[in-house]
Amino acid sequence: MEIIVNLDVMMAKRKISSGELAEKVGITPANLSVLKTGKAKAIRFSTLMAICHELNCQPGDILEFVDDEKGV
Amino acid sequence: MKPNRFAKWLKGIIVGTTLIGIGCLIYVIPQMMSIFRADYPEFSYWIMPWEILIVCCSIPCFVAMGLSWKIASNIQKDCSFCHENAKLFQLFSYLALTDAIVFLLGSVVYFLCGMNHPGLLILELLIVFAGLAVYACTAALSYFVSQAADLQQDSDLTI
Repeated sequence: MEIIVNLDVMMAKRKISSGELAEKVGITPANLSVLKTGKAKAIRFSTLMAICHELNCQPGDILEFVDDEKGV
Repeated sequence: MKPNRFAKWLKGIIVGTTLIGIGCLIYVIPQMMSIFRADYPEFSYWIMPWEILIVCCSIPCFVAMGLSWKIASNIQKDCSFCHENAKLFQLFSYLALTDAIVFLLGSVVYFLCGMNHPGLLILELLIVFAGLAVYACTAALSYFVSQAADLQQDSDLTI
């Protein structure tokens, strides 16, 4: 049971690099990498809002819930 | 006070305390024992066992100084709330407990062997009480630092 961050997919669709997105969102490239690799423990709404604004997407486009127990 | 400055101050205190401890072990206590031997030759057989007990009880104190130096180094690296510090505080608490128990056992055994005075035993119990208080405080501190380290980790991984 986990939340998967599909940031890579959305970044590839919008053709934006990590450094560029990090600068526009206002976080460090290291923090963006933590988010992309699924090591983040939490994300602030303000950060999620900024990412969705820059990538022109919905939170559901970059966050996916996977429940291994129920096969979802 | 900034972590770097505080850590340097702490290290200075640790060095000073260690030097005083070494001075006491090497000079002050032997001198006191010599005076005691000269003034009370009938109790001269007490001296060696008590010197052994004092040396045994001082070893955990010097190890604790080493642990304190490591804690100060972690603070200097801006790692005040980290699991390593929590473990060091836990070790510190075990050293305090061990020291208190060894000193208590030694005092009681010497009392039973006729190498201790009832009045002195009461004072020694106060020292044991102080050791147990240090154990309780450092054990609690270890728990708090561990909780704080978890909070810090959550905070660091909150994007």
